[in-house]
Amino acid sequence: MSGPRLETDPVSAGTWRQLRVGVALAVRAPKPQRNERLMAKGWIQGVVLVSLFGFTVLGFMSARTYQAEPPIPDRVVRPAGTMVFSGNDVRAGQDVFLRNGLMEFGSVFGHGGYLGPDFTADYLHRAALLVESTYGGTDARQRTIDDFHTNTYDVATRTLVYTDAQADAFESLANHYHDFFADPAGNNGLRPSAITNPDDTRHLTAYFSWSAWVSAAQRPGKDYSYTNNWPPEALVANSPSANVVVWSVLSLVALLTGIGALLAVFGRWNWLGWHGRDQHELSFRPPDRVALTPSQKATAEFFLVMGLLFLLQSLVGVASQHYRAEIGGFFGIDTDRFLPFNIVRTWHVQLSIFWVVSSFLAVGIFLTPMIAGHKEPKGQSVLTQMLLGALVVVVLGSLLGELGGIHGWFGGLWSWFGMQGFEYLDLGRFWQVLLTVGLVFWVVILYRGLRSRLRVEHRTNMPWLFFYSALALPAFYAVGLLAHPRASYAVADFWRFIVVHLWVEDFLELFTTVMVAYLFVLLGVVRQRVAMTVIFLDIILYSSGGVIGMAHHLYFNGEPAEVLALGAFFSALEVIPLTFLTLEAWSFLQLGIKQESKSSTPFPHKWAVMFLVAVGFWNFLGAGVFGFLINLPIVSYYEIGTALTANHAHASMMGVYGMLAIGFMLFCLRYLLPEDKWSDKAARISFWSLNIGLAWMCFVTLLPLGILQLYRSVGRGYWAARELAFLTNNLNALLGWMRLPGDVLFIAGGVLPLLWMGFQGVRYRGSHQDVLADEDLLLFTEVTPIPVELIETH
Amino acid sequence: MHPEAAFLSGYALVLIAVAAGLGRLGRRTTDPWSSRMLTASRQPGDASSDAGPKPGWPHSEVPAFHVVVGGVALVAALLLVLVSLVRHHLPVECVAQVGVLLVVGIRIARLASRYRAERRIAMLGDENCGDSAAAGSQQPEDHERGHDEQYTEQDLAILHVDLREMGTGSTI
Repeated sequence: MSGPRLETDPVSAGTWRQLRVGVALAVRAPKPQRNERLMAKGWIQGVVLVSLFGFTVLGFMSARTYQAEPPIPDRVVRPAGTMVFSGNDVRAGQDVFLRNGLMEFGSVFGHGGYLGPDFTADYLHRAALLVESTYGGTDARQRTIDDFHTNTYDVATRTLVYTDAQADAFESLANHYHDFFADPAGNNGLRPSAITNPDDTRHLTAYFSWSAWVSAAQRPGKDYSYTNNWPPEALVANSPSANVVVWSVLSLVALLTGIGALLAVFGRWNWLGWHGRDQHELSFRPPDRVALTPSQKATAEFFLVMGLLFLLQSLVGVASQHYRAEIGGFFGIDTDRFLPFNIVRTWHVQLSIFWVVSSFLAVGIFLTPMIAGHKEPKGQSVLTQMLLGALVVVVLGSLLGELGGIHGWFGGLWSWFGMQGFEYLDLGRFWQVLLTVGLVFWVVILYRGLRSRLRVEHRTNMPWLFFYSALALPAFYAVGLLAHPRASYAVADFWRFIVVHLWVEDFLELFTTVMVAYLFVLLGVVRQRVAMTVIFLDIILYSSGGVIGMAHHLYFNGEPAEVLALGAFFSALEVIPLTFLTLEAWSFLQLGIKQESKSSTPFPHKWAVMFLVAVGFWNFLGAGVFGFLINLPIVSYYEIGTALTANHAHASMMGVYGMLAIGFMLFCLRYLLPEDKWSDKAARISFWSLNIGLAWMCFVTLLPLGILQLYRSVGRGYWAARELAFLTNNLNALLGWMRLPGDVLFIAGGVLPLLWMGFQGVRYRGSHQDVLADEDLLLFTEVTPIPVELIETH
Repeated sequence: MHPEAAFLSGYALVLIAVAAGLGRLGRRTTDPWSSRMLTASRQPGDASSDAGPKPGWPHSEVPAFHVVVGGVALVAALLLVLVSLVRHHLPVECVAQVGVLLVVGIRIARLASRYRAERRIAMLGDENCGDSAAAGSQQPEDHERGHDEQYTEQDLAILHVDLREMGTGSTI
């Protein structure tokens, strides 16, 4: 009877009672020939085919976006031919809207901030009231509906004709919006006298008026508007189109069928064939006996910066929420004069990306020498510090630029250095380019560290997957550069959501999957082949739903109905991988525990894994349940831009990416900190405080606020659910105030301990030995147990 | 009844349901090969469909985690209704809201005892985790259980009884 055979080393079959050190796949000495492909061709073909399908359909949708975007007329005139406003006024209005950060205050087409009104719905409602009042009489409502539904745009002359009633409404509303934005008292979340130039406010009004026309006028040859009849508005008979209802039903069918089919197939045939690294024993190396390279030590500063950015992000988040509880200021201080809502929300949104990305960049650099399995090339540490410096410059530069932008500091260069203005792409174009270059620079650092390993690996093996997933990050972030402020709204929004959805929800997801899988491989708790199966499955499932499903952001922004249909159908499929991969993630963790339970040495990453447990929970609740709650077109039709969206955003962005980033941080800090400086207590307090604080935020404030808004939107119209008077009424303000205990716990108990640990990491990172030999980079040693049968016969 | 009181009471009932749902979710095994959904469609005789040994850490943390989040939902419900009661206290409003408060209170009490039981189970899993604290490293103060405290078959039997009495149907 033969002894236990190690999958990776057939030589060991005939040897027993031996201690083997350093046979982890990730750190094997380079072979003269490439390591063979580990995954079957079927998996690779599946990934290629599914990805090709997803991106082909995405290409089709981008083409349709350009072809079917709502036109911006050259001129809008009265029946007599008198000019009301021009196409240039509309474009100038979009400029004013973006450079003043109004998309972080209110929204157009439902996309943007949650405090101010949705200006599309607001204009439509106000204009319809004025038109109906102008007509008077019993047929006033029908005449109003006819005015707004009839598409009087002439393609040949690029001229749109408003009725006199509509044109008069425009003039009245130009005065209304001037008073609103130029109000010296403020009290609306914007800074006092935010926009006083009458030309600017008139241009803004033209922009809002155009968006309202787009949302009510029938598409040529169709019985619904350019926005699929969004927003709901009884005065102009805007109600859900047939597409909105039918594709909601079909997407539900797709979801139920997909989940059932996937679970049945994988459950019945056990395709994945999970197996742990059984038949041998691991011994985890104590963290302070794992040598660190200079670049790994340099990542400590990233985690300190990450902690600082996380703290700042939380504080400005609190400030932005406070505006809903107390619109006039912050406990008597007129914060709107120097930190108005649109700035604190811009910072809140931008910093959520910055601090999470800081962690991902750092852990990528930290893992590289372990994956490469040898000493790193010279200069890696310097390059790492340069990257951190560049990151700090981009963060500070862009945040200050956004503040200066709304004050008009940059003149004609506002979109380059100030507030570019699209939500999530608020930073000036200069900073956006620098960030993209920084991400490329990061990939170069990884490539330098991995080069010798990549040379000996098949291009579908794990080191290459790690590199590809890293390479995708700058590539898809760069797509955001196509969302130019002068682009039309639908086109800019399409490219913007490539970043918001595809970059954040798909490619960051892929990168994190690869990193988590690699962590388990490096820790020796799963075989490389199992980890790769997880990665390939992730790519297939997310590509089949997530890439095309990106269009669920584009239901009502001027895209054609086929984009709505594709978005609804495929984004419903997104929930399937969320459900399935959560189950599989548990199986993955289970493999780890089976193995590490045999270890004679303690498992050093309890709290990093606990944050992964939290990721599984929030992936299910925040991304799955709260996400699907608002995903159906018929629900989104009424709730877009309400607190239900914020509820999903917080539970999924913080719950999934935030927890992941912290888990990665704790994994690295476990090695950076000496044993006597590591604190399980701090990690535990942070873990529970963050999770309880996040749950409190959702249950006490965001979810009930969203339900109230949804009710009002269905009952009275979307404009009513978004009006400031409603958002700041007694009950809503009360719910806003009640969030306070959770936020205090989140920051004091959750963020501050992490910041302290980050500081300790920088302070004590030098106490480790430098790399002496390849073995010193290993995270575990491997012990072949003595087979009982052999002992008995020996 | 004031609409605000009606809404907050109704929402509190929703949160009670959420907490109950989370509690049930947390009690389901997180091992997909043992889960009810998958075993229902597995081939008969497949060895991997056997329940096998009870899951250890980190699966042992899952029920406690769900209980804590469910607890947050219940405390939120309690606070929302209390605040509403202060603001709206006509007789009919008092009756309705005190009724909801009673339900919330009972659920919180049951959850607290369940949490204690789950923590004990999680600590058993902790033994497997072998974190630095559990290994008796330099930070004994961080460990929630004394070094000399050992769990035995008898402890497990007590936990069985505890959970059965609470009607949890836990799989341990």
